[in-house]
Amino acid sequence: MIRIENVSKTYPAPGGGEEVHALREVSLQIRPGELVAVIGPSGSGKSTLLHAIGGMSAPTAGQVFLGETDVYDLGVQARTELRLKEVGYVFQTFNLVPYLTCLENVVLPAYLAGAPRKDARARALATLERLGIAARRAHRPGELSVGERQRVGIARAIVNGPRVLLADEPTGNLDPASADEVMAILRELAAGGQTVVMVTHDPRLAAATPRTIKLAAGRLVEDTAAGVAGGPATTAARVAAERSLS
Amino acid sequence: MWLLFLKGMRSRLWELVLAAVVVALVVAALIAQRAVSSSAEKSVHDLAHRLGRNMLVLPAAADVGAFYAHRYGPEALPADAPATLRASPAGEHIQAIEARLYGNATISGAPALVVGQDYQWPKLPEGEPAVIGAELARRTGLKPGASFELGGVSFRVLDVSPSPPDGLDTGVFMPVAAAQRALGRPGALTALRLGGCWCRIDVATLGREVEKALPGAKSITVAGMVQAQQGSLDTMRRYATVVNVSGFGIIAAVVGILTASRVRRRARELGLLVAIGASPALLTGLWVVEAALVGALGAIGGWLGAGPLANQVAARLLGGTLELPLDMLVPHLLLAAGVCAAAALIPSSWAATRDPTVVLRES
Repeated sequence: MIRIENVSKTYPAPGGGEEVHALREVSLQIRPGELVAVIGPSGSGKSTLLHAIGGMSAPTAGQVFLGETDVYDLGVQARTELRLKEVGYVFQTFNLVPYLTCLENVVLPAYLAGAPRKDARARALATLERLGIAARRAHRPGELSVGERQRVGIARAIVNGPRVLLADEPTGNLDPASADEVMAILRELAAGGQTVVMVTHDPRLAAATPRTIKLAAGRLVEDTAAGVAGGPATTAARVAAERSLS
Repeated sequence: MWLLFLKGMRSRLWELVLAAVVVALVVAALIAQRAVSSSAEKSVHDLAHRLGRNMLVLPAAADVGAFYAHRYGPEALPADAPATLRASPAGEHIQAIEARLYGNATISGAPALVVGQDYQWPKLPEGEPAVIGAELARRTGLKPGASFELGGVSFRVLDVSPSPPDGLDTGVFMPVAAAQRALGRPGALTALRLGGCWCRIDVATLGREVEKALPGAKSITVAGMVQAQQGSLDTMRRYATVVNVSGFGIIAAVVGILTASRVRRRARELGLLVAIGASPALLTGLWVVEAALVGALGAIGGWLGAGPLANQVAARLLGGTLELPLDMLVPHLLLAAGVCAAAALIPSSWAATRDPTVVLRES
């Protein structure tokens, strides 16, 4: 369960101008196994929300919970551990390490998590097989198509079996066929119990996800899980209601 | 994280090799400088040891540096200088006076140092007696019993000395009178070696007494020579400190700039690694260890290159070979590794602790 309560994020403006409000009092809950698309125009706070959920960027106000853990109540080291084991990241530009092979890129988080060498490699190989790209394990990223690179990126994100998978425009650089393949993989992961939160600009993909959250100017303006368009007050009220029920 | 460490190093091999080469050059220069300095110090000690309690008297116009480099000028002491000295007040303190005539000549096409010295030379019917150094024998092909001519004087080789006096292995030793004829310098002497025990007079006072007795001569004592050379060594040591600090400063600057430049180019990779859960301490550690390794390898390379470099310098400046100061190997290794690690620490820790979201957005 991901729970976000009244999260705001403000960036100081470069040159001492007016502050940038990337998120304004956003509250929402995402259940395990949900596949959620976060949409909105550029600069609406989609990536900031993703980073806040993943423990990468502390909000200026509010709280983020993964399960019962208040992410930003943890120290830096504990948050790094959490990110390593509980959260997987998929990037629009793949961000694979260019001098490592596919297998080495995928095995990296397992090594970082302290998995024994043999076990880590076996897990990485199994993940590549699961994503249908094991045959390319000895290739470097530069030798793969963009669709294949994104599969490697997803494999790296899930090799440690995280509860949450965060994908920042994972299909942004892909052709429609590759984008559909990636979406199918994300759906399958969600079906397997992983919570998948995906930022996208593609209305076609957003429409194909069970739940869509829309941000505008840092505010949550629509959440299809609520059935209606709603602002922060609506969502906060819903969260409060759900908490009182539990 | 050997995977990241080794593969990362391999991917940037030429950069690291370049950094190691810079370290190696600086370390080699520092070691060569140290070797030259040590050698100069050793030569002062050797000289002091060789002169011992003796005193050397040269013509006042003689260039002492040229004299020790075996380049002899036209200056000369008068032929009666030994007798004059014995008859002077200084004579009672001097037990032995050995008169010498030094000169440069060519024998059978090979350059030779002519040394005329008082000695109980045998009389030979077929010419003047001579003993030659081993190197001169090798160059000229002269053997014991062979004859040669110098300045119109015939000589017969009595012996080839493998360890000639004062290490003059290109020397040809002969009676002073024969040397004066061969060099065309009748009655000339170029040095007096005084021996004895200066128990009742200090060396400096005796030196002054000798110079008073022999106007136009100068006395060279161990104390004076060591004092003069010690001054040069002190200056050399002062410069050595500056050179060492500057050398390691250059290493730190090069490695620091190189690391900062690589950090900048690899910002995305670092941001990514932090984003997927690599701890900043681990990443900083990898960069610091890598820099330390570059420093250590560079220092080893510097040591390997220092021998030839030091000998080149020595051959040009000192006319000999040098011994490397082996006691400095481990300190140089540790210092180079430490300086490189420290230089890499600041840019790498800065990069590893940056907000990964900002880094990824920027790159």
